[in-house]
Amino acid sequence: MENLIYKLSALSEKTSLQTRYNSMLAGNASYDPSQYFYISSASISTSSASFTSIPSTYKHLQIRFSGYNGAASYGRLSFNSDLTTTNYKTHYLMGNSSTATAGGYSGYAGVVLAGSSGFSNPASYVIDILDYTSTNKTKVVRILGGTDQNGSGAIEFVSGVWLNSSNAITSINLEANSGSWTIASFALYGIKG
Amino acid sequence: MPTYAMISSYTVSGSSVANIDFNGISQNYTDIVAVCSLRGTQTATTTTLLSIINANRGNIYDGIVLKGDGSSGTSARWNFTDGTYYYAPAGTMTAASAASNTFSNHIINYFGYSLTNVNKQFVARSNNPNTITEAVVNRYFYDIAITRLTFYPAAGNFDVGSKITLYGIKAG
Repeated sequence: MENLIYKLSALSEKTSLQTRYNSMLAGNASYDPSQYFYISSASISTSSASFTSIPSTYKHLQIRFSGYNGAASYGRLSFNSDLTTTNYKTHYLMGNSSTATAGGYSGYAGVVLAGSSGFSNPASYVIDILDYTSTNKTKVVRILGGTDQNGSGAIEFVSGVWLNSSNAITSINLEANSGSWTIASFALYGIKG
Repeated sequence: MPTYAMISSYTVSGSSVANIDFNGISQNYTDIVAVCSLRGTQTATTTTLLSIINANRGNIYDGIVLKGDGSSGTSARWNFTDGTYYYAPAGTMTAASAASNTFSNHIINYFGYSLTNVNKQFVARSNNPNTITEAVVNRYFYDIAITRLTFYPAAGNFDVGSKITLYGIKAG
Protein backbone atom coordinates (compact mmCIF):
# COMPACT_ATOMS: atom_id res chain seq x y z
CA MET A 1 0.00 0.00 0.00
CA GLU A 2 1.36 3.40 -0.81
CA ASN A 3 0.33 7.00 -1.36
CA LEU A 4 -2.48 6.67 1.17
CA ILE A 5 -1.75 9.78 3.23
CA TYR A 6 -3.06 13.05 1.80
CA LYS A 7 -2.24 16.59 2.81
CA LEU A 8 -4.28 19.52 1.52
CA SER A 9 -2.56 22.88 1.32
CA ALA A 10 -4.58 26.00 0.54
CA LEU A 11 -3.24 27.85 -2.50
CA SER A 12 -6.03 30.41 -2.64
CA GLU A 13 -9.64 30.75 -1.52
CA LYS A 14 -10.79 28.44 -4.28
CA THR A 15 -7.90 26.10 -4.95
CA SER A 16 -5.89 23.70 -2.90
CA LEU A 17 -2.94 21.44 -3.44
CA GLN A 18 -3.31 17.76 -2.67
CA THR A 19 -0.08 15.94 -1.87
CA ARG A 20 0.11 12.19 -1.34
CA TYR A 21 2.61 10.52 1.02
CA ASN A 22 3.60 6.99 1.93
CA SER A 23 4.33 7.95 5.51
CA MET A 24 2.07 9.20 8.29
CA LEU A 25 4.61 11.98 8.79
CA ALA A 26 3.19 13.55 5.59
CA GLY A 27 6.43 15.32 4.85
CA ASN A 28 6.95 16.56 8.40
CA ALA A 29 10.13 15.94 10.34
CA SER A 30 9.89 13.15 12.86
CA TYR A 31 9.43 14.17 16.50
CA ASP A 32 12.29 13.08 18.71
CA PRO A 33 11.08 13.42 22.29
CA SER A 34 13.45 14.27 25.11
CA GLN A 35 14.78 11.34 27.11
CA TYR A 36 14.94 13.51 30.24
CA PHE A 37 11.79 13.42 32.40
CA TYR A 38 10.56 15.38 35.36
CA ILE A 39 9.60 13.07 38.24
CA SER A 40 9.03 15.18 41.34
CA SER A 41 10.07 18.36 43.11
CA ALA A 42 9.89 20.04 46.47
CA SER A 43 10.45 23.51 47.86
CA ILE A 44 11.09 23.35 51.54
CA SER A 45 12.19 25.27 54.59
CA THR A 46 12.62 22.27 56.84
CA SER A 47 15.52 19.97 57.50
CA SER A 48 15.00 17.45 54.73
CA ALA A 49 13.44 16.73 51.38
CA SER A 50 12.38 13.26 50.37
CA PHE A 51 11.52 11.61 47.12
CA THR A 52 9.64 8.38 47.63
CA SER A 53 8.18 5.69 45.39
CA ILE A 54 10.66 6.54 42.67
CA PRO A 55 9.62 4.67 39.52
CA SER A 56 12.08 2.13 38.14
CA THR A 57 11.35 3.04 34.53
CA TYR A 58 14.49 5.17 33.99
CA LYS A 59 18.14 4.33 33.54
CA HIS A 60 19.62 7.15 35.62
CA LEU A 61 18.38 9.85 37.98
CA GLN A 62 19.39 13.48 38.31
CA ILE A 63 18.67 15.81 41.21
CA ARG A 64 19.01 19.53 40.67
CA PHE A 65 19.18 21.21 44.03
CA SER A 66 19.67 24.78 45.15
CA GLY A 67 19.45 25.98 48.72
CA TYR A 68 21.43 26.86 51.78
CA ASN A 69 21.70 25.92 55.37
CA GLY A 70 22.70 28.73 57.67
CA ALA A 71 23.42 26.35 60.52
CA ALA A 72 26.94 25.69 59.24
CA SER A 73 25.96 22.15 58.54
CA TYR A 74 26.64 19.96 55.56
CA GLY A 75 24.01 18.32 53.38
CA ARG A 76 23.59 14.58 53.29
CA LEU A 77 22.11 12.33 50.62
CA SER A 78 20.79 8.93 51.69
CA PHE A 79 18.81 6.18 50.01
CA ASN A 80 15.95 3.85 50.92
CA SER A 81 15.91 5.20 54.50
CA ASP A 82 19.28 3.55 55.12
CA LEU A 83 21.18 5.63 57.69
CA THR A 84 23.86 3.03 58.35
CA THR A 85 27.05 5.06 58.39
CA THR A 86 29.25 2.22 57.12
CA ASN A 87 27.16 2.03 53.96
CA TYR A 88 28.29 5.37 52.54
CA LYS A 89 31.59 6.76 51.29
CA THR A 90 32.29 10.20 49.87
CA HIS A 91 35.33 11.59 48.08
CA TYR A 92 35.70 15.13 46.88
CA LEU A 93 37.91 17.58 45.06
CA MET A 94 37.12 21.09 46.29
CA GLY A 95 38.26 24.63 45.62
CA ASN A 96 37.59 27.35 48.18
CA SER A 97 38.90 30.34 46.17
CA SER A 98 42.46 29.95 47.47
CA THR A 99 43.39 26.26 47.57
CA ALA A 100 42.33 23.01 45.99
CA THR A 101 41.92 20.10 48.36
CA ALA A 102 40.91 16.48 48.04
CA GLY A 103 39.61 14.26 50.74
CA GLY A 104 36.98 11.84 51.84
CA TYR A 105 34.23 11.22 54.34
CA SER A 106 33.24 7.98 55.93
CA GLY A 107 31.17 7.38 59.01
CA TYR A 108 28.40 9.67 57.78
CA ALA A 109 24.84 8.54 57.21
CA GLY A 110 24.84 9.50 53.57
CA VAL A 111 26.87 10.98 50.76
CA VAL A 112 28.17 14.32 52.05
CA LEU A 113 27.68 17.66 50.27
CA ALA A 114 30.26 19.61 52.20
CA GLY A 115 30.07 22.74 50.06
CA SER A 116 26.52 23.50 51.17
CA SER A 117 27.46 24.29 54.72
CA GLY A 118 26.93 27.46 56.66
CA PHE A 119 26.39 29.97 53.91
CA SER A 120 23.91 32.75 53.34
CA ASN A 121 23.60 32.27 49.62
CA PRO A 122 22.37 29.05 48.06
CA ALA A 123 24.62 26.22 47.04
CA SER A 124 23.66 24.70 43.72
CA TYR A 125 24.18 21.07 42.81
CA VAL A 126 23.72 18.72 39.89
CA ILE A 127 23.59 15.20 41.32
CA ASP A 128 23.66 12.21 38.98
CA ILE A 129 22.72 8.80 40.35
CA LEU A 130 23.78 6.18 37.85
CA ASP A 131 22.06 2.85 37.19
CA TYR A 132 19.84 3.30 40.24
CA THR A 133 17.68 0.26 39.54
CA SER A 134 20.55 -2.21 39.49
CA THR A 135 20.29 -5.15 41.88
CA ASN A 136 23.88 -6.27 41.46
CA LYS A 137 25.91 -3.04 41.62
CA THR A 138 26.67 -0.61 44.39
CA LYS A 139 25.13 2.78 43.59
CA VAL A 140 27.52 5.51 42.53
CA VAL A 141 26.70 9.22 42.75
CA ARG A 142 28.44 11.92 40.73
CA ILE A 143 28.07 15.51 41.88
CA LEU A 144 29.06 18.95 40.63
CA GLY A 145 28.16 21.81 42.91
CA GLY A 146 29.18 25.02 44.56
CA THR A 147 28.32 28.31 46.11
CA ASP A 148 29.84 31.75 45.87
CA GLN A 149 29.85 33.97 48.95
CA ASN A 150 31.63 37.03 47.54
CA GLY A 151 35.16 36.16 48.47
CA SER A 152 34.57 32.76 49.98
CA GLY A 153 32.54 29.70 49.12
CA ALA A 154 33.32 26.44 47.41
CA ILE A 155 33.17 24.60 44.14
CA GLU A 156 33.47 20.84 44.22
CA PHE A 157 33.43 17.55 42.40
CA VAL A 158 32.06 14.78 44.58
CA SER A 159 31.97 11.03 44.12
CA GLY A 160 29.82 9.05 46.49
CA VAL A 161 28.74 5.47 46.85
CA TRP A 162 25.96 3.66 48.62
CA LEU A 163 27.37 0.22 49.39
CA ASN A 164 24.20 -1.62 48.59
CA SER A 165 24.30 -3.77 45.51
CA SER A 166 21.13 -5.76 45.93
CA ASN A 167 18.41 -3.12 46.10
CA ALA A 168 17.21 -0.60 43.57
CA ILE A 169 16.93 2.94 44.85
CA THR A 170 13.27 3.66 45.54
CA SER A 171 13.57 6.66 47.83
CA ILE A 172 16.03 9.52 48.35
CA ASN A 173 16.43 11.82 51.32
CA LEU A 174 18.43 15.03 51.15
CA GLU A 175 18.78 16.57 54.56
CA ALA A 176 20.73 19.15 56.45
CA ASN A 177 22.75 17.49 59.19
CA SER A 178 21.47 20.19 61.51
CA GLY A 179 19.28 23.23 61.08
CA SER A 180 17.01 23.74 58.10
CA TRP A 181 17.31 24.47 54.44
CA THR A 182 16.42 27.96 53.33
CA ILE A 183 15.13 29.01 49.92
CA ALA A 184 15.69 25.45 48.90
CA SER A 185 14.32 23.70 45.87
CA PHE A 186 14.86 20.10 44.90
CA ALA A 187 13.84 18.52 41.64
CA LEU A 188 14.20 14.89 40.61
CA TYR A 189 14.49 13.89 36.97
CA GLY A 190 14.75 10.54 35.21
CA ILE A 191 16.85 9.81 32.17
CA LYS A 192 15.78 7.06 29.81
CA GLY A 193 18.39 4.67 28.49
CA MET B 1 6.72 14.71 31.67
CA PRO B 2 9.64 15.12 29.20
CA THR B 3 11.70 18.24 29.65
CA TYR B 4 15.23 19.49 28.83
CA ALA B 5 13.94 21.38 25.80
CA MET B 6 16.05 23.46 23.49
CA ILE B 7 15.26 27.15 23.91
CA SER B 8 17.65 28.61 21.39
CA SER B 9 20.87 27.76 19.59
CA TYR B 10 23.46 29.81 17.76
CA THR B 11 26.29 28.54 15.55
CA VAL B 12 28.95 30.91 14.26
CA SER B 13 29.12 30.60 10.48
CA GLY B 14 30.65 32.65 7.71
CA SER B 15 32.80 34.91 9.89
CA SER B 16 33.74 35.21 13.55
CA VAL B 17 31.56 37.12 16.00
CA ALA B 18 32.37 39.24 19.05
CA ASN B 19 29.67 37.74 21.21
CA ILE B 20 26.71 35.36 21.31
CA ASP B 21 23.58 36.86 22.76
CA PHE B 22 20.34 35.21 23.88
CA ASN B 23 17.67 37.79 24.61
CA GLY B 24 14.04 37.38 25.64
CA ILE B 25 14.69 34.05 27.35
CA SER B 26 11.47 32.23 28.14
CA GLN B 27 10.53 32.20 31.83
CA ASN B 28 8.75 28.87 31.56
CA TYR B 29 11.49 26.69 33.01
CA THR B 30 13.13 26.05 36.38
CA ASP B 31 16.77 25.92 35.30
CA ILE B 32 18.69 26.83 32.17
CA VAL B 33 21.67 24.93 30.82
CA ALA B 34 24.03 26.46 28.25
CA VAL B 35 25.97 23.84 26.30
CA CYS B 36 28.93 25.39 24.50
CA SER B 37 31.48 24.22 21.93
CA LEU B 38 33.90 27.13 21.49
CA ARG B 39 37.06 28.33 19.84
CA GLY B 40 38.41 31.88 19.81
CA THR B 41 40.30 33.86 17.20
CA GLN B 42 42.82 35.30 19.67
CA THR B 43 46.44 34.31 18.95
CA ALA B 44 46.92 32.17 22.02
CA THR B 45 46.17 28.61 22.97
CA THR B 46 43.41 29.65 25.35
CA THR B 47 41.31 32.61 26.34
CA THR B 48 38.63 33.07 28.98
CA LEU B 49 34.97 32.51 28.30
CA LEU B 50 33.04 35.43 29.78
CA SER B 51 29.35 35.86 30.39
CA ILE B 52 26.99 38.54 31.60
CA ILE B 53 23.39 38.45 32.78
CA ASN B 54 20.68 40.84 31.60
CA ALA B 55 23.26 42.95 29.73
CA ASN B 56 24.65 44.06 33.09
CA ARG B 57 28.40 44.69 32.99
CA GLY B 58 28.60 46.30 36.41
CA ASN B 59 30.73 45.13 39.31
CA ILE B 60 28.08 42.64 40.44
CA TYR B 61 29.69 39.24 39.81
CA ASP B 62 31.93 37.05 41.93
CA GLY B 63 33.27 33.60 41.20
CA ILE B 64 35.52 30.70 42.19
CA VAL B 65 37.39 28.33 39.91
CA LEU B 66 38.76 24.87 40.60
CA LYS B 67 41.27 24.00 37.92
CA GLY B 68 43.45 21.10 36.88
CA ASP B 69 46.08 21.90 34.28
CA GLY B 70 47.55 18.47 33.68
CA SER B 71 50.06 18.66 36.52
CA SER B 72 48.40 20.26 39.54
CA GLY B 73 45.10 21.39 40.97
CA THR B 74 44.44 24.97 42.04
CA SER B 75 41.58 27.16 43.17
CA ALA B 76 41.20 30.91 43.02
CA ARG B 77 38.68 33.67 43.21
CA TRP B 78 37.88 34.36 39.58
CA ASN B 79 36.60 37.74 38.41
CA PHE B 80 37.26 39.68 35.23
CA THR B 81 37.25 43.30 34.17
CA ASP B 82 38.54 44.93 31.02
CA GLY B 83 39.09 48.14 32.98
CA THR B 84 35.66 49.49 32.16
CA TYR B 85 33.21 46.62 32.45
CA TYR B 86 32.90 43.51 34.58
CA TYR B 87 32.14 39.98 33.44
CA ALA B 88 31.60 36.54 34.94
CA PRO B 89 34.29 34.07 33.82
CA ALA B 90 32.71 30.72 32.99
CA GLY B 91 35.71 28.67 31.83
CA THR B 92 38.86 28.54 29.74
CA MET B 93 38.13 28.17 26.06
CA THR B 94 40.29 27.10 23.13
CA ALA B 95 41.84 29.85 21.01
CA ALA B 96 43.55 30.21 17.66
CA SER B 97 47.00 28.84 18.52
CA ALA B 98 45.59 25.55 19.73
CA ALA B 99 45.62 22.55 17.42
CA SER B 100 43.28 23.03 14.51
CA ASN B 101 39.74 21.76 14.83
CA THR B 102 39.90 21.67 18.62
CA PHE B 103 37.06 23.27 20.50
CA SER B 104 36.51 23.49 24.24
CA ASN B 105 33.30 22.24 25.81
CA HIS B 106 31.44 24.06 28.56
CA ILE B 107 28.22 23.19 30.37
CA ILE B 108 26.86 26.07 32.40
CA ASN B 109 23.95 25.47 34.79
CA TYR B 110 21.82 28.46 35.84
CA PHE B 111 19.63 27.49 38.79
CA GLY B 112 16.24 29.04 39.55
CA TYR B 113 16.84 31.63 36.86
CA SER B 114 13.30 33.03 36.96
CA LEU B 115 13.11 33.44 40.73
CA THR B 116 13.03 36.95 42.17
CA ASN B 117 13.98 36.23 45.79
CA VAL B 118 17.51 34.95 45.47
CA ASN B 119 20.80 35.97 43.85
CA LYS B 120 21.43 34.12 40.61
CA GLN B 121 24.24 31.61 40.45
CA PHE B 122 25.73 29.34 37.84
CA VAL B 123 27.81 26.21 38.23
CA ALA B 124 29.85 25.26 35.20
CA ARG B 125 32.08 22.47 34.02
CA SER B 126 34.69 23.19 31.33
CA ASN B 127 36.82 20.80 29.34
CA ASN B 128 39.60 22.35 27.34
CA PRO B 129 41.68 20.07 25.10
CA ASN B 130 44.80 22.03 26.07
CA THR B 131 45.07 20.05 29.33
CA ILE B 132 42.71 22.24 31.37
CA THR B 133 39.65 20.94 33.19
CA GLU B 134 37.66 23.27 35.41
CA ALA B 135 34.66 23.72 37.62
CA VAL B 136 33.36 27.24 38.17
CA VAL B 137 30.76 28.83 40.39
CA ASN B 138 29.72 32.43 39.86
CA ARG B 139 27.16 34.59 41.61
CA TYR B 140 25.21 37.53 40.23
CA PHE B 141 24.27 39.88 43.03
CA TYR B 142 20.73 40.58 41.93
CA ASP B 143 17.49 38.76 42.65
CA ILE B 144 15.83 39.63 39.34
CA ALA B 145 14.99 36.96 36.79
CA ILE B 146 17.44 36.19 34.01
CA THR B 147 15.98 37.24 30.69
CA ARG B 148 19.19 37.67 28.74
CA LEU B 149 22.54 35.90 28.59
CA THR B 150 25.52 37.13 26.59
CA PHE B 151 28.79 35.29 26.09
CA TYR B 152 32.15 36.77 25.04
CA PRO B 153 35.72 35.61 24.62
CA ALA B 154 38.05 37.71 26.80
CA ALA B 155 40.07 38.58 23.69
CA GLY B 156 39.30 38.20 20.01
CA ASN B 157 36.09 36.74 18.65
CA PHE B 158 34.25 33.44 18.66
CA ASP B 159 35.59 31.56 15.67
CA VAL B 160 33.50 29.94 12.95
CA GLY B 161 32.08 26.64 14.16
CA SER B 162 31.57 27.81 17.73
CA LYS B 163 28.14 26.93 19.04
CA ILE B 164 26.05 27.65 22.13
CA THR B 165 22.71 25.99 22.80
CA LEU B 166 20.36 26.96 25.62
CA TYR B 167 18.16 24.29 27.14
CA GLY B 168 15.33 24.71 29.60
CA ILE B 169 14.58 22.20 32.36
CA LYS B 170 11.21 22.40 34.04
CA ALA B 171 10.28 20.94 37.39
CA GLY B 172 6.54 20.48 37.24
